[in-house]
Amino acid sequence: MNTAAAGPCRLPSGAVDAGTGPLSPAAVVDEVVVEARALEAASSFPREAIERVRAATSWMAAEATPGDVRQAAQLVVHQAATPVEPQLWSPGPLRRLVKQVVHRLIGWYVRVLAQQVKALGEATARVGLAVAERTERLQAEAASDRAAVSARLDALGDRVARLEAMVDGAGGAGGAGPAGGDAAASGRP
Amino acid sequence: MSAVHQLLPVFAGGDAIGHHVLHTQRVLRQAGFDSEIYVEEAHPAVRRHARHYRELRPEPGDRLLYHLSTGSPMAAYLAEQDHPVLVYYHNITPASFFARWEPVAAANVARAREELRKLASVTRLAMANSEYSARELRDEGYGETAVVPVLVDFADLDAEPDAATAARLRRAAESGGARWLFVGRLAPNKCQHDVIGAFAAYRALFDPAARLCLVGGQTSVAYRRALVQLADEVGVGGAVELPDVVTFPELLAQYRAADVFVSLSEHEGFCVPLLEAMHFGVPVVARATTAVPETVGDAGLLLPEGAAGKDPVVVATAVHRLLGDDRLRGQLVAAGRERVARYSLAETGRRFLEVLAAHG
Repeated sequence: MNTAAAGPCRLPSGAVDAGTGPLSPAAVVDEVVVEARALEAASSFPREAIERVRAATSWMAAEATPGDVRQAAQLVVHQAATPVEPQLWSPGPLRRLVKQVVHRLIGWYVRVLAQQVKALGEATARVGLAVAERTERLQAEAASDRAAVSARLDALGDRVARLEAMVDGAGGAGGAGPAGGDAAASGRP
Repeated sequence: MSAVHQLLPVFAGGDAIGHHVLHTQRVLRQAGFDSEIYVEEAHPAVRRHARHYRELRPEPGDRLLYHLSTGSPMAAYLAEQDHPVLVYYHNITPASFFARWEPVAAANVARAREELRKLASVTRLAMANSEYSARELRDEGYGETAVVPVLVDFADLDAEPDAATAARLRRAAESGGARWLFVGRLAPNKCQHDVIGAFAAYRALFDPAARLCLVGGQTSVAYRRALVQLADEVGVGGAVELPDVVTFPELLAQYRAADVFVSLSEHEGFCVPLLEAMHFGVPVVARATTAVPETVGDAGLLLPEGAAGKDPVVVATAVHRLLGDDRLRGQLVAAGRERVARYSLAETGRRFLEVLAAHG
């Protein structure tokens, strides 16, 4: 068995139980989660490298996020990256040789095609991203407009309520004036 | 005695389902049943063991045991039969895992789930490889269900490993560094991308000389390509091996050379490689999703099912702890050997025949 070589990070001493009884795997896992948090808090923690790993693996998360245009665009780029160096391994030496010969013969042409497919993929993804950005901007503008209209309606409502209160006050003090008469005739409360 | 014939859509020689079907046939024949294998497609290596399902001419009283894991016209064919239908459910990977990478595969598994639902009304007995799979069967309307683990002959694993591969891996081991292994199809639900991420963190934090081997044929070309790109992107491209096709002796050499088996799969109906690793005394770190906790039991470090269970730092720390703690490793390896004994072919074969007899 290999032995893990000394790396740049060390677990806190005492993390490994020195007892002799059977260990509970579940308890060990709980300790591991705590140890991992402690590692992250250490000043020597390679934060940038780990965040790069997290970012790179998260987009490959097993299940797609519905409606995530950026994720879909990234997938187009990945799908369009046509491999021109396929696996040439085969169980039999003859098959291996045939694969190598075919690869040599058509490799130059496949590379040109692959570049074109890749360029098409990246262009398609750019279109998708441009549409997504424009849609997001329009949605933001529409939301802003809606908020402004709503605020204006609220202000008008307040104004109407104030005016009605004034009219009601005037009516109560000195009988039905022209405004009070209008309100009563229109059936407004 | 009547016959129990097996039917399966694709009969591949080297996968868990193919081995299971061959072992089931052996167990049935040893118990005195006639038993043939009928398929839609067969790999050339095992074609001599099987016939096309349209050639099936069952006698009265014969039972038809259908292995369900993927979509196939065989399901509709079975639904029309007058003979008792038994189902062995190997589980179906949810379509959502493939939607991003392989839309065709996604459509196939979606169809398989519809077929699973339709077969419920004509199935006399449904067997499942795990309690997790049995729950799915009950949810789909199956009445009689029983758990019968996958039939595996662990003695097969004691064969000679490939000498050239073993020598190459021995030479690699001389330069130090832990050797990580995962065995399983390169598929989005197996989350090899999370294994690569955790491995990159392990190299950055603990062991810059570590190596990773992901053994398994590809289900999705796009996913495999993304894995290669990911390994390069996180700076471990030169330390990750992705041998698409390995022979059985090469696989044995990989198991023998491994220091730790790391599974971060999000969906497993059973996961035979976990037990294979235990057979070789390779300690297991696995994410506790779907059927994995049932298979691993107390013979491995089961990481949480949630986000923490696949966080690269948590996984790397778990592997580091396991490889640096002799007592823990020894305990898990011993528990693993006990677990393998519990899933021996004698035990699982007996269980299969008991279930068959009880549900006649």
